[in-house]
Amino acid sequence: MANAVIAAVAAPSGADGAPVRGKDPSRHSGSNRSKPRESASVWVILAGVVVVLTLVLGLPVVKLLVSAFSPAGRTAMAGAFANHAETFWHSIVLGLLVGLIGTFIGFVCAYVETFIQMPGKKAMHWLTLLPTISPPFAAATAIITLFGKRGMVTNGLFGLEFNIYGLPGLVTVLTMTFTPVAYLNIKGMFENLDPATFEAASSLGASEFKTLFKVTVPMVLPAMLSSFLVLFVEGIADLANPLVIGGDYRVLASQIYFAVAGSGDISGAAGVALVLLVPALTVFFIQKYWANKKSVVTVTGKPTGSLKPVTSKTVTVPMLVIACLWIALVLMVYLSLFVGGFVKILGVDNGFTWEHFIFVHRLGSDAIGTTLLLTLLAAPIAALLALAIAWLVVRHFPRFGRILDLWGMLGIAIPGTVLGLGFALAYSESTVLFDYEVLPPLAGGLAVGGGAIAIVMVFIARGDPTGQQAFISALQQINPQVEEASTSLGASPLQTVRKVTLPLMSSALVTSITYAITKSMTTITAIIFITTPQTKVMTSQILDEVDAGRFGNAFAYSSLLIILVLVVLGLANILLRQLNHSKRS
Amino acid sequence: MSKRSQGKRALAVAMAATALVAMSGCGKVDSSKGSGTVSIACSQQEDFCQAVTKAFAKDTGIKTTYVRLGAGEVLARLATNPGEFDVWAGGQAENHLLADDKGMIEHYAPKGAGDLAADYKDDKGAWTGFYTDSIAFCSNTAELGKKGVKPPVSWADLLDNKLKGAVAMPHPATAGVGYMAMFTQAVLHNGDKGAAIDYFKQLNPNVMQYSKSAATGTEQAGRGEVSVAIALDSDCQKAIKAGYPDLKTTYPTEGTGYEVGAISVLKGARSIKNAKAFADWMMTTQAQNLYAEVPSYAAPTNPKAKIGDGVPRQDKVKKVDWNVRQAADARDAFIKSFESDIASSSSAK
Repeated sequence: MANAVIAAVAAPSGADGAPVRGKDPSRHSGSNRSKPRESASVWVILAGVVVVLTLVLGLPVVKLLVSAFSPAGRTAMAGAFANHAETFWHSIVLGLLVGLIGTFIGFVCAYVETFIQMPGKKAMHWLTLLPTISPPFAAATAIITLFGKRGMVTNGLFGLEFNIYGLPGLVTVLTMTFTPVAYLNIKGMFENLDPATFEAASSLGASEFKTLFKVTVPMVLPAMLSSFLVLFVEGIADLANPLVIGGDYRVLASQIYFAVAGSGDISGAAGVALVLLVPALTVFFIQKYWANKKSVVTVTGKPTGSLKPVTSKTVTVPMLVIACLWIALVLMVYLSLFVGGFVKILGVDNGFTWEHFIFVHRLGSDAIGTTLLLTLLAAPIAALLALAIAWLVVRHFPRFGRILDLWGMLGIAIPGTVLGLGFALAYSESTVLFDYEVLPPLAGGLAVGGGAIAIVMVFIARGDPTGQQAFISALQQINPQVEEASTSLGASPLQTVRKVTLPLMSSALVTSITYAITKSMTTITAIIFITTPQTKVMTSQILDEVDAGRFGNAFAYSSLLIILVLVVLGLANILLRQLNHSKRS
Repeated sequence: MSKRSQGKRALAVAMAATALVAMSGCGKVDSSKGSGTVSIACSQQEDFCQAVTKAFAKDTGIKTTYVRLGAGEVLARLATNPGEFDVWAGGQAENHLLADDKGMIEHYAPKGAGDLAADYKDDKGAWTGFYTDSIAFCSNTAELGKKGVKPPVSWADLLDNKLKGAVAMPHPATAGVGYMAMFTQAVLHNGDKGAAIDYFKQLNPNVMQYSKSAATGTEQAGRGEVSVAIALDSDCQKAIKAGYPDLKTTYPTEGTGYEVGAISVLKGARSIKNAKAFADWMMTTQAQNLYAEVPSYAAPTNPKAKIGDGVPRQDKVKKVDWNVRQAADARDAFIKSFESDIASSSSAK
């Protein structure tokens, strides 16, 4: 365990306008060494990434910008600031709360999972992850039936008339949906921590309580910051939940939706969406700046022991209480969702019935197959894209790479409604470059493949960012020397990634695949404008049922969707584990 | 160089995958370009869309596909992707008229339109009505009882202080009934739009949430999350039948607005013949009888069609004079001022 020395080397991986910090040896040597290694394969991958990004987030975004800066779009933009300043702040407050609370709970759950010994950890792990699979509207609807004015818990058990609509409801449901991002990110980082650091802390006489704040938290700060970023952006761009549980708490995302869905005002929506990008981008830059300053290299490639469990009651008790409360909430919401599919009207008429599932069978048989097929096509591409971007950003193009990073993040930063419109605008007709037809129409009922290609592209755009952030924070944690050792032994950069880097980031890989799959299967707003008669998707049918007020059908459909996602995730997990084993052996 | 071959391999896999999707879909597109298909933008509830397309396909042998979309969504898609749909079925006549103003509609009077009452069709054939229903107050009598409020029988009753945060109102931008309520107020105030806006400003503190769709309100009322919903009488009836026995439908005595759900043939249809055939078929007694079977509680426009059990009797409802042209023209301004003057001041309460 003599590697504790390298373990604590701070490695800011280069930041814009920071020549002062250039004297940091690790940064200098890093970029110097990497220069001659920008071999052809790196350029090929860069080109591939740029092509994919141009397709999924380039053309559609350009089309949106053009509409946003048309006169109607500019009016809407000005209006968003002038008339809707309050709405704007609402969005920001919501994003901040979701980001802070979600990251905090994610940290606690990851801490309990890693450092505290107790029975049922495996079950807890899966329960914490469960809300990842949150079909639009389902969680919010379940929360209303539990905690609404006539909620089964608030009103039924305690006789309260609690107003869940508005900020409290929104924060609860959004935090629940996105906490798993933070959990997975932070847990992955914990697993890569060097136990020697903790041994050092304890032999220097630090209490476990002190170690938590002085060692543990600082070590995983990059993961916490990147989680905060994802949660903030998801929080302000989410549409489905404000529509169900927003009450009088108005946010920009729903305003955009009303502009488009009400009067087909595409320019207006694009204008407001641009306004929504401002806070998202601000947080993005702040986070990147901090993460670079605080990044800590902890993976050195040398064999390490295992983490010693924490036993101090001052640490374990509060952690366990928070984690258990959280799990209880998740359990209640998902139980009511499952039960809701089997009873006539949950909370009103609890008689058993199959009718909801019969309806789902009649309605959704072809949508289920289509959704699965499209997801299986999109998820691997999204994960690969995320990995490629992260690798280029962290290892090869620390400056220019930031643009790639930001570009990829647009996939969640642009509200789904608007992104979907961008796709409709960009791909309803064939793409022409210098009078040559480069691409046939890809979106809409007239397109090649019945519009399926555009939907796969949306899935890629939406599925990439979470994995991208996970890979970036994982890569920053890995000492470049590990990879250099591999290259100097004659491995190509790609071999190094496959055989050395990727196995060290298995947790980020799981995060990225998980999110690519769940995002694809639960994306709704982005595809409203591009679903076609030939290509139906499960979520849009769930939305229709919620719209029609038939929650039972929506619950049944959502339960089915959740089970399907779990099956797909389970298979993906087994596959990943086998890959990992074969690599490690 | 193994690294290159790997890059290429990945690319090849991606390309093969894309090609696969492309090919699997190609077949579909080819078959749908034949004369035997019709593609429908359906602005009705899913089960109704399903029932009519299935029945039409069975009757005629024409392959029928649909996407369920709200009226605003249809308008947006007709603009971004013209030619995608052949027929637009469902949604208020006003919206069809707006599409017609943008030149998206092929005028056509379906066979059988002659039997319809005058206010159920457009003179020029831009749209033809196939169902109708009215705005009502959908009250949860148990909740109202707790508050000591009687089911509202006038628009003014909704302004009662005791109903603070207890009224559901659909958002006019996305739910037709929301806009209908606004236009109704304008008609009741002799066309004074300012007075109509004022009414909704006063109502605002009582509204818990402006819901995206019309049926959400009846669901909220049924659960007791709100006490009264401004809703379509057909939706309220549907909720009662679905298992919310506490719900009760009442109408404002000063008069209420109503909708005519319309069908129109779209310009640039791939098969104009099939599109027209579908429009003709929707006017038949047989098609309109499906309402009773689904069941949907809107009333069919065909006077010979059977009126299902529990369908609100539209001839008994006191209605305001409804000018579709004016309702269409006023829509944009009304929705804009709703967004800027009413909904955004929500948090004032």
